[in-house]
Parts: sequence; structure tokens; C-alpha cells
Amino acid sequence: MFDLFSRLFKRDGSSATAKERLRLVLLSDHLSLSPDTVEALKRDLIAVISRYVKVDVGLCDVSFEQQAATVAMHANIPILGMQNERPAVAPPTYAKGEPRRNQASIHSSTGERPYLDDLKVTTPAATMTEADVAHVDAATNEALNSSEHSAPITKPNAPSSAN
Amino acid sequence: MSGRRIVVTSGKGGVGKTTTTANLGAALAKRGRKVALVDADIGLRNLDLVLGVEKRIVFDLIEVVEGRCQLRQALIRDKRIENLWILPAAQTRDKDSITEAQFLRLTTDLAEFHDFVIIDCPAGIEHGFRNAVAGSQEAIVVTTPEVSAIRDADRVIGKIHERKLPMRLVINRIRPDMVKSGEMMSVEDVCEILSAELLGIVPDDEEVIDTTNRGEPIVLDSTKRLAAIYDKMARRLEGEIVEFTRLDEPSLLNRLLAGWRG
Ligand SMILES: Nc1ncnc2c1ncn2[C@@H]1O[C@H](COP(=O)(O)OP(=O)(O)OP(=O)(O)O)[C@@H](O)[C@H]1O
Ligand SMILES: [Mg+2]
Repeated sequence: MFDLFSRLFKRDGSSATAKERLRLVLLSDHLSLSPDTVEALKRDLIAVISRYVKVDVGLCDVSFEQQAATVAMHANIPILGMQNERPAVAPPTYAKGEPRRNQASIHSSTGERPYLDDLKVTTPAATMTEADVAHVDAATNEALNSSEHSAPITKPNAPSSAN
Repeated sequence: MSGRRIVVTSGKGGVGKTTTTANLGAALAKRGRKVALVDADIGLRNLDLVLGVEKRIVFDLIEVVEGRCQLRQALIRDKRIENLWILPAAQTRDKDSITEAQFLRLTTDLAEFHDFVIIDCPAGIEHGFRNAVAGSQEAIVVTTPEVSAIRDADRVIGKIHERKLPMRLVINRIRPDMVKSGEMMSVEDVCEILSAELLGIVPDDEEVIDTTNRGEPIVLDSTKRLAAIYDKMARRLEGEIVEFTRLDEPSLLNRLLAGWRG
């Protein structure tokens, strides 16, 4: 009888909590343990973003931080300008020797922004799908609004909420 | 002949490395393999005690390395199980009395006339661990289903991966009743978290304490509950595909008792 009761009431025992806590702590152990992996991730991240916008590789910074329910990745990637811009939209007019980094401020000071349509054109057409286009748009919007991204990393098989 | 050199390690202390080394080694010997068990826990030797040979130690591993005796002189033969040999650790020396190269030499020498050389690793990931791993080609990681043991096992698995050694997991001290009520992580949970291949599942059982008290390997008495568990572990180590014993299946006795309890 007692057995039955304890079984009824303890179905959601501490093992689920243990598993979730371990998943998190191991994730952060692994991230802090392997600078090589972080370096590789940073390299790949910059490579992907560089397909769409020009970034200042020397000033890119990627870090990890444990938050309440996830480990978050913070990427600070200064944007220099658009990749393969059509001259009509934003002609690069900076003087020789001037740091290219200033290009970002050219856009903001003049309020000049490339059209998103232009970006679609500059992405390899053969491999574009509709999902890709949407993805590019979202990425570009975010890139133009701010050069700082903060994206939570969730392990693929992590439950979205407790229980 | 060149036998397999396998380290039994865990990171966290007290999770069952020595128990696993002794009983897995005894199970392999009982199956007719020639087995040498090496106690790498210099300064905290225990394997001799668990196997009941503590009174027969003449020389230890450090004395072999320092050339003060022959390797064969330091090996203690188990009188109950044929083909089981124990190389004791030094009790009054430091872990840095031996180098990684010396340890490798020692275990490769042993592998020349044994099918299995199983190394009982000290807890931790320092010098003693590095020695034991340096002498091995494969690893068995022992853990219990508790958060700290699993975290440490994960750390050790990382170190073993760095050295590109194949590794398998033994989950020790599982309590099926607690797993069932959700108070203990299951075997599946642990394997998933550590993404490791399983070599054995050993329940928490007072038989371990009882046989350790006597200095007897469990497989010596085939009526013991855990005898079949260690025998299966040995067969898996030899490449056989053996089903895992289901721990949650109530025995006939338990079922009768449960019926009687109402
Ligand atoms: N399956 C089990 N059921 C019950 N008790 C166990 C089991 N496995 C180990 N023990 C007990 O746990 C204790 C620690 O075991 P053991 O000495 O094998 O661990 P260890 O990892 O070698 O420890 P150390 O890190 O100190 O070398 C011992 O008292 C042993 O009897
Ligand atoms: Mg031990």
C-alpha cells in the first residue's frame, strides 16, 4: 500500500532534475574546456556571416555565458558593409588608407540602406530556396539594426521546458 | 603474445574502480584467460585487500620499476582462480615514484605473457591517472548514477578521447527501485548524457561488501546474484554480444513477497 502511494507521488522524482542540471553543466564544462572548439566555431560563424556582410575579422568576439535555462553565445561582430554591393546602392567612396570600418557609419549617417531585394540578387541564385531568402532577410535586418547578436544555444534534444 | 592493456578509471573516488577491476579480472580468468591486475593507486593500495592477497605481498610495482626485483617475483598468484595474477602498488611511496614511460614499459612487459592487463587507476586526473592511462590501450570508465560522479566521468572521458583510446562505460550501484520511482537516473539517461557505449550495469548490492570483507571475488561463487553480471561483462569485453540483465524484473521471490505484502 505504502509502495503504491510513493510510486504515485514520486513519478516526477529528482532524476529528471539531475539529468537537466548535468546537461547544462557538461555543456558549459565542454565550452570552457575546449578553446579549440570555440575558435573553430568563431571561424565558421564569421565565414557564414561574411557571405552576406563584410565584417571586421580582427575585432570579432565570441563568448559563452551560462544563463537560467541555457548557455548563451554572445557574438560581437562589427559590420563594415554589405558584401558585393551594387554600385548604384552604396558606392564605396572612402579614401585610400581610411579604415573600412567607417563604412558602417556612412550608412547610418546618410540613412542610406541597401534594399533587401538587392541582397537576394547577390546571393548565389542556384542554391537559393525560399527559406534561404527569408533567412537572409532576417539576418540582414538584424545585422543592419545592430552589430551585436546574442543568440541562445539550445542543445537539439533539450526539452523546451521543465516536465 | 601481446595481451590487451585496459585501464579502469572514473575521475571521482569511491565509485567502484577497484571492485570492477577485481571482479571483471576474476571473471575473465575464470573463463580461462590469463589475467594480470595492476594496482596503480600508489600510496593507497587496495586491490590486494579486495582480492584477499594482502598477506602474500613481498615486492611491489615500484620495486620492479627500480630494478630491485624481477617482474615475476612481484606478481601474486591467486590461489582460488587459476590464471589470475596481482601486481600490488607500493603503499609507502608517492604517486610520482614512477613515470609514464616506466608505467608503459611495465604494462607492455606484462602483456607479453597475459591475455589481459587490467589497471586499477587512482581517483583524480593527475599524475596517477596519467600513468595508468599511459600504460593502456583501452579504457573502462566506471560511474554511479549521481551528478558528481557523472560530471567527473565526463571529464575523464574527454581526457581519454584526447589520447584516442577506445572507451566503454560501467554504471555501478544502480538501484532499480529508485530508478523506477524517478529518484535515480536510469542507465539510458547516463549513457545519453555521456554518449558512451555500455560495457556493464551493476546493481547496488550488499554482496559486494560481503565478498570484499572476505577478500573473495564474486564470480568464485556462481550462486551469487552479481556473478552472472560480471561474467557477462567479461564476455562483452571479449567481443561477444550479450544482452544486459534486466534489473527491473522482479524475481519470483520478490513477486511472492509483494503479493504477501498486499
Ligand atoms: N555495486 C556495488 N554495490 C554495493 N557496494 C559497492 C558496489 N560497488 C562498490 N561498492 C562499495 O563502494 C566502496 C568503494 O568501492 P571501490 O573501492 O571499488 O571504489 P574505488 O573507485 O576503487 O575507490 P577509490 O577511488 O578510493 O580507489 C566499497 O566499500 C565497495 O564495497
Ligand atoms: Mg580503488
